[in-house]
Amino acid sequence: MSTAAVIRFPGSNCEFETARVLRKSGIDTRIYNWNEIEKLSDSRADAYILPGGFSFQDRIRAGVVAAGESIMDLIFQEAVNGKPILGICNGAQVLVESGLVPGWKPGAIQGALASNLSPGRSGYLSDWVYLKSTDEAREKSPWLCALGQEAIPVPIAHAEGRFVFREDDLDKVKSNIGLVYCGVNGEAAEGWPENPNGSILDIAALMNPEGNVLAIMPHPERCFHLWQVPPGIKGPWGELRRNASLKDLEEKPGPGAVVFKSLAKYLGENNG
Amino acid sequence: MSKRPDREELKKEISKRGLAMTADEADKLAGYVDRLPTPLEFHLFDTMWSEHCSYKSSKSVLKTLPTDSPGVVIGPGEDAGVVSFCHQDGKEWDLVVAHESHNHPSQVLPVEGAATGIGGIVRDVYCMGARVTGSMDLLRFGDPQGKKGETTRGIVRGVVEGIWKYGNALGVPNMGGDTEFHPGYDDNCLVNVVAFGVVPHDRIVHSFVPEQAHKEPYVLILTGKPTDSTGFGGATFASADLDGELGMGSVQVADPFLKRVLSEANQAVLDMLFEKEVEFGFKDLGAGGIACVTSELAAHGGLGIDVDLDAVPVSVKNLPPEVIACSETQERYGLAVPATVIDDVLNIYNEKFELPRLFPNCRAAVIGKFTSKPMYNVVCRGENAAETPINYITEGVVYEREELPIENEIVEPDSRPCNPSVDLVKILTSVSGCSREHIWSYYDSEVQGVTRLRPGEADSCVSVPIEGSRVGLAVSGDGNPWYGELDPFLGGAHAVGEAVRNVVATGATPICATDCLNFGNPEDPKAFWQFKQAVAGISEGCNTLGFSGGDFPLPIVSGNVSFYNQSIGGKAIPPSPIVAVFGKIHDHRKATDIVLRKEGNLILLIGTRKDELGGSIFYRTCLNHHGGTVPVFKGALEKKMADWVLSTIHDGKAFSVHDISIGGLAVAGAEMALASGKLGIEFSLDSNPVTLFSETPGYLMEVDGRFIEDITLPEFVSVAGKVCNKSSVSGNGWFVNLEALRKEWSDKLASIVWREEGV
Amino acid sequence: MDSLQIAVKLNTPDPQAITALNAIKAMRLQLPPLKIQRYDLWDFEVIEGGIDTVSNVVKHFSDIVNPNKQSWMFAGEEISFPEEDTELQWVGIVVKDFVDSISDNWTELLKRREFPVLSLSHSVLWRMGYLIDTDEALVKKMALDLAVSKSRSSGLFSNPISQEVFFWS
Repeated sequence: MSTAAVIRFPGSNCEFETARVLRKSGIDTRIYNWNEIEKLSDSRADAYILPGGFSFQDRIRAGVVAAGESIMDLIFQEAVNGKPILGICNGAQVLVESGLVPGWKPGAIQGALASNLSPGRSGYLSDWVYLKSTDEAREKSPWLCALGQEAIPVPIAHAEGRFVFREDDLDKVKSNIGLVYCGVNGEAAEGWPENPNGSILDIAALMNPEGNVLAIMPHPERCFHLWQVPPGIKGPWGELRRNASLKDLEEKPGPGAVVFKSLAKYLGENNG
Repeated sequence: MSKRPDREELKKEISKRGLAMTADEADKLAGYVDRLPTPLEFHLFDTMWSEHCSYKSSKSVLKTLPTDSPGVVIGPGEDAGVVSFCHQDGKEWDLVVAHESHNHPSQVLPVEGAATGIGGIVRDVYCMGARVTGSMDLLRFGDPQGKKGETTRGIVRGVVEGIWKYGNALGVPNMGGDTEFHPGYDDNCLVNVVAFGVVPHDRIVHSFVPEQAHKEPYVLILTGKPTDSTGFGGATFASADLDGELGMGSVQVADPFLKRVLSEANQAVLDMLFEKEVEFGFKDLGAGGIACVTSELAAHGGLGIDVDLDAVPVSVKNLPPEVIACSETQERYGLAVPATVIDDVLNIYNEKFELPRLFPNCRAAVIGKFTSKPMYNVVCRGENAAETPINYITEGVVYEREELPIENEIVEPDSRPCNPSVDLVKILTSVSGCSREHIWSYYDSEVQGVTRLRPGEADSCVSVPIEGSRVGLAVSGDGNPWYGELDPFLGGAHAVGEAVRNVVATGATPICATDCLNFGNPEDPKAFWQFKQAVAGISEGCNTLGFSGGDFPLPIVSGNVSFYNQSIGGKAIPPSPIVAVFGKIHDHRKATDIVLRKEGNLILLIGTRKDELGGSIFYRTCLNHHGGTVPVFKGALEKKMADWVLSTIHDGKAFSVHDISIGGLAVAGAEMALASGKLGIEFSLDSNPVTLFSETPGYLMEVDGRFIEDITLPEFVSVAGKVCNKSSVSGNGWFVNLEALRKEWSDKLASIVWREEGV
Repeated sequence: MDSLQIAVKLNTPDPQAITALNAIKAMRLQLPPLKIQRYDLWDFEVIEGGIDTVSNVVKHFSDIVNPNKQSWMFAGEEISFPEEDTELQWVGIVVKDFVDSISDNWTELLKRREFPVLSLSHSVLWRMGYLIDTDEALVKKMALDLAVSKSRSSGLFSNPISQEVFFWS
């Protein structure tokens, strides 16, 4: 059976549900504390996940303190080795502050997840957004390879989620895009709130050039089941949710399940 | 030590130390120790005898609340209430609930006050051994557009910031709550917080040293943040009038980051202790800090304790013993364990979870030994800082307060002009009637992945807290200040009634309730009368709305009293009994929301409309009238309606359900349509203010037209209209396009409070 | 038009500063700062009234300064840091987001409320206290190294892609 390791930093808070959905996707998953470096190293996990939360309470800047933790040496090495690495929300912030994403020059900080930019408000925002994958992502990301072309609704919950890059890198970054914010039917996002944080090029998730590392701001683990989808949400997923039978409500996957299904598929193919 | 002091001497001590106790109380204390009490003893008893800890004014009234029902495992008395919840895989699960106020601190320091409010209530649930699966904030603010609007707006922004900065980081989903505005809170906001969680029945932890401590050596381990001087005098502050000035000592600094790590470490420690099958006691540090936790853990287990303050990890050197002992530094717990497991416990906190690395001098340390001699002994730097018979500390004090009824003349408006198309828009775009969406948008309601219905989607939030189980938990908190002001009894009764309806509307059966009683100065007979009336109202509500069969009431299992809520001029806030109700739905998949499903479906009205618009939003917003007859509370009818709604939902016949409360039938219908995107409601009822805007309790329910062909509807159910394919709500002679209104309805609060537009 | 800056400090120990110092300790630098202080800086561009206008804004909005927990002072000539500071050699760096909602929203709000203010913008001042007898140029270099995160193991206080830094003077 394929294995995954969820890394808990001081202040992480999505480790349990993340591990739960990975297990439900058929991947043997364990949670490791930030200081269980040896155990983690011995585990030789097939994939690593940095869960959401507030590592070190986002002090100084979200993700930056966790990025300096020793356990990230190991994650860095595994990323370079090509193992699938996923950072969700705060985990994404850690990956960006570690220089793993966009990762043109692994280790160098070449992007930022800046504070949300939205009209008339600042700070945290919880909402549901629509996301769409890119061709590159479906082709090379172990986390997105099972996605289709249609838009999926996924919740966000963050205060610092705006992808930013140097002016000169804007062309280059396009091939690193994993997911973009979009309209209900996959049309390009028309500013706020479809793009909930002012992220450049509407980027919601970003890969390294090889595609094995993915930093995603929305929370796919929170919409693993159909029953987790809001009943009032617009679009086809809303229809599906409102008209679901009791059986479907429980058994049908939610829109986020496909991320973990992608990994299971990828590991299944690669581990034989 | 010195000999027993006289009254003058005691009065001097009280004023010198800034104590809240009376000279009589100080004399009683001096009698206990038969000498001049030490500074630590003064502060310890000052805290223990504060209104906050002793319930000295309220105790005799609180005894009248119904607390007994077959499902109750632990009623009021410990840190949180516990009721039986469900069975899963041969395991018995209990629900743990707690409810508190953090009003005064939030008025002065909105961010920190709201944050430490959540911190405190969540600790109360954790320390029963539970995993916390949700929290809720019940907020009452002044008028953001009124005379003190600027202060109020700053407080609203600060409180919401405190809730998200702290609550979100904790990883506990915020299940919403409610927010009301009333000028009576201009000088004194209310921040009530609720937390709840689940625990296997055989893993409930108690907040006293266990029986086994009579047979083998037990120690007290203090864990968490190093002690500083913050919150010194906090409990007495929470119980005294707000005069706008306070020493820095009273500021509590919340640290959600440490709290999160500490919670996980606690869980690991508890797992280890259960595995080793040792008995232990566990309690969070709140009011009165180390002094309270050490004396209460010992006294409630029938033992004494020797405390060594030199062993307490501190962040500031040379603090006086009374400050170390009584400061209210956040993020700390006390653990009573056998001496044999000291190393295991310290290892988990200090090595595995590295507390000392995360915050300077944050760690677990042994600070006391339990003794068979029932004495409370504290030493600091070689001197006795306290030496008191321990039973005196927890004995408490009781006062019988006087009451004086307030005669409230019922004044109805001279005339009631009503143009529903205009009035409904006015209500939905008023601060009282607009959406609370902007507030929730700061809350993380989905962490833990157990949330089934979020704030705004249904009348109560529903979660699925136990892995592998279909059992859903619904929770709602309510209390209408406009009713409380006109009739405190009805304010109390309807707080129960509305919270029950909100839970029932999602298909959940109420199993228990908690209350937070927010009132003025109990020494003022009028304010005390209001308090007694409201408690009587809650009792009436709970006694008539029990769902456990027989004559069993809806039990109040935990709660809190907050007195001295008043304006700078001494005017009490509107009587504010706030009630939270918890409900259970056997199969969460059957839970109903307020989202309309299908054009052509029928809308049923449950609860005949009555002419009782007193305190209604229609009177206030459209007629600028603040009097009138408050809706009568008819418990037996409410119970019948609830039973019918529940059985219809369980039969799978109800597509969506919304309770009727603030704003009446028209607002309830509009809210269903606003939640639904493209669908709306056409009412087929008379267009008069009573039908449309009276706040008589009831429900709206969407059903298939064929449903009513086969059955006889009870006399309290009638057809009110049908679902149409326009985002609108309309009736005979009126029409409101909601598509055009939606933005203003959802954005109104943000525009006034956050952007300060048009103020 | 006047430009004025105020510095706001928590009256209790600032947890962000504590975490920053901890993070720096973990970097095992040869010459780490011994103390760190954190201030919120607010830059006002006022149309009229200068000091009076700024004082007025501060008085009106407890979100900017809540006197129950914070103290504030005008930066520039009037700034006075605590006495204990004299034991160390201090260097300050200012971190500012290239764009941020906090500054934009406050500017809009003050205009709407008709304060004679053109703009208000927020930044953070980190003061680092080094051993008193360290070479001043070296201290500046060390501080600058910490100011900008270039990689996972170097720098801390700002992300150069989204923030700018400058020495506090």
